[in-house]
Amino acid sequence: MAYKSGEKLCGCTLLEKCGAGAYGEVWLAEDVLGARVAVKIIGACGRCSERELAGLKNYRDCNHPNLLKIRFVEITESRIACVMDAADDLNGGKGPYLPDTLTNRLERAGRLESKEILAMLEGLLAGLEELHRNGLVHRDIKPDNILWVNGRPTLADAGLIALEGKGSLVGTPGFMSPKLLAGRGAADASDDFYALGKVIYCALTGLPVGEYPSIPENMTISVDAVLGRAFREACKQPVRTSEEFRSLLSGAALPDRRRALTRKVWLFAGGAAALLLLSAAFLLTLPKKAETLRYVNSLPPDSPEALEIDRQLAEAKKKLAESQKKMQEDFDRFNSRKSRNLNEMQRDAAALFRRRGLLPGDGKFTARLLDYEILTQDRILGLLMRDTRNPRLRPTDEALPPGADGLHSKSAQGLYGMFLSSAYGDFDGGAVEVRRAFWRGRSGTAEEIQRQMLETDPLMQALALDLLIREKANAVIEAGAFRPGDKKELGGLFRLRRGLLDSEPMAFPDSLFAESSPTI
Amino acid sequence: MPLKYPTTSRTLLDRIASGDEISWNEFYDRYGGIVRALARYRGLNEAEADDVCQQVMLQFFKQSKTFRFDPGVARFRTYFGRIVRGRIANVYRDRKEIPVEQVETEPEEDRMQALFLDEWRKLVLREAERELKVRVAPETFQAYELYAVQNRPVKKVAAYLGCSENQVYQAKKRCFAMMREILLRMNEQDPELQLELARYGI
Repeated sequence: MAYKSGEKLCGCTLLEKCGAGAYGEVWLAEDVLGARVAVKIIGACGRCSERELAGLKNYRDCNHPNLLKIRFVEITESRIACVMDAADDLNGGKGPYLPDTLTNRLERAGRLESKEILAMLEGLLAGLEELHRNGLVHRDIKPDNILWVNGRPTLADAGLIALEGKGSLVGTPGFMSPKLLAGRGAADASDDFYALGKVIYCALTGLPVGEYPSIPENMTISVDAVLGRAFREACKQPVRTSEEFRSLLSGAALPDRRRALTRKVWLFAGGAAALLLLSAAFLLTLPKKAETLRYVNSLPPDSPEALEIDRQLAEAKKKLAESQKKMQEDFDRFNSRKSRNLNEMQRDAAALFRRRGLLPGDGKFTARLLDYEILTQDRILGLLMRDTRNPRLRPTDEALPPGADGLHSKSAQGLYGMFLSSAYGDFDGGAVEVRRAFWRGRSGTAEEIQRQMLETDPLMQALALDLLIREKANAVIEAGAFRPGDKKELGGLFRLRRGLLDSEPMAFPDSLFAESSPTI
Repeated sequence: MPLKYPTTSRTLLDRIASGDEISWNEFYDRYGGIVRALARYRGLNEAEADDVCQQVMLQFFKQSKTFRFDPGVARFRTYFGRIVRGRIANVYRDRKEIPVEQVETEPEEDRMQALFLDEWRKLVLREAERELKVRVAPETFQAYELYAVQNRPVKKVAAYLGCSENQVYQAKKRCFAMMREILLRMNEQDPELQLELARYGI
């Protein structure tokens, strides 16, 4: 809906439009007492307005001079209107209203002086402290959302504010931490501090965030060394508290958490590679996925076919153990080297895997697949545990969800059940609830259900994508080469999947590869 | 140029629906310069050059809302160049001042091709630096940029980054090696480009 100057909304008279974002418009307005206010109008577009409303509800209890004050909210069928304090006028009343935002300041001045940046940060950190104290995260800190109200730096836009550790992947590219982009958990305070680091970069250099970490040629680096170091540190490793951030601004360094992380990542990588090998070996023994589920389930345990499968899998496990041993040596060698970042690690891992012939194709694909595997190993576990001959994995009749009979077999039902509880066992409400929600009102083939899931909520979308990616990646591994369109399809699936993962990956169980493993 | 900050991303399904793999703005920032340089070379005024630029962009977004391409691939460069030249010729046709045949004489066409290739090289070099940025740690890139690209004194760079001078030299060495690797790959993909490698130690 288009709004016009002079129109009345929430008891305010709209004066002029001063901004438009992804979800709506912001108008400068005048309330009944003649005070200038800002009115944000969000069209009712399902998720956007739901999210905005949730953000506003979360924000309700926060009251701090460095957080933008929301005076009034009106909800109708077609929109949410939110009356807030207006930013100062950068034109000082001479000319059209220009909200005093960091973006506008940078457009006008090129970049800010260190002193000005430090004063801004002091205010923003105080505001953020209040948010974090209430268990909330802002999730969209960027120059557009930093205003000056009565000369005070103020954090604006409550639309994406969420409870810490909850919520889906939202934010602004460039200001979102690699952790968020890789789907390694929901936003927490450290992600707000990461964005603040990028804000320092933009303010100090005057460059768009996409240029990070470039330094303009005409910048005097000797003057801004402390801030330069602060933004690098804040973007390099997680800053957990505002105190830590303040210590960066005083020139101190953060404790080095990278070594510990490196080891963790490599242990994950080792496990993931091992899983890939096992899954590839397993798939090689089976002609078709859907067929297989029926086939294995109907085999008597001592039939020649079952024994042959057992033999092949025992062989695969043996190879896997050898490969793990070699890989551990490589990882140990790798860990003894210093100054490496994640990109280098991924590339080295890719090269390593190629040398071993573990994965086909080019480094890019391998690195991405590796990255993906690290994040979703718990889900792969679900796929590996497809044999329902193991009583521990076989769902009991009570556990079988209603409507599950549309799937190929009991094995498939068990797989989905296991998959869900292993993947989302730590999700709100517990695995049982998730499982019930998953099966409620669903029927049809696995493919139909996957399609349905893609149209429902992000949790189910993530699960469906996991299945698709595994299927596709395994097909590539099985074929030993990419067919036309494979890379494009996998790349697309990876991107979508990364945008959805909310929960932290679960720990990888070593017992899976033990000789006594009940997997098969 | 005004600062452009990316807008808040929408949810996955919103993104799929609008298919904004690469946005109009990104495309314009990255490739608009080449189009306008060629248009101005052919004698078009600013407004006409902007118009050509928009038409070229539209042509690329017409097939799909999503736009993706690899600037290192020669085929794309040829295709891009053909579209730009076609749109410029359209402007001349619309003007009806100079017959198109007179504009597209052979020597002129060669000069245009040389200019296009030159602009494309600049673009590819920028892409190579972008790749480098992703591949190395921020401080490594900054050491390389400040010391090797901007020629600032090594002492100042080391002081700014809080590292030793030797680490600055090491960063330069590593970045040069990576740039060589990237540019060699790009030259291989598009031999006509003949990107200059001497600067990076070849």
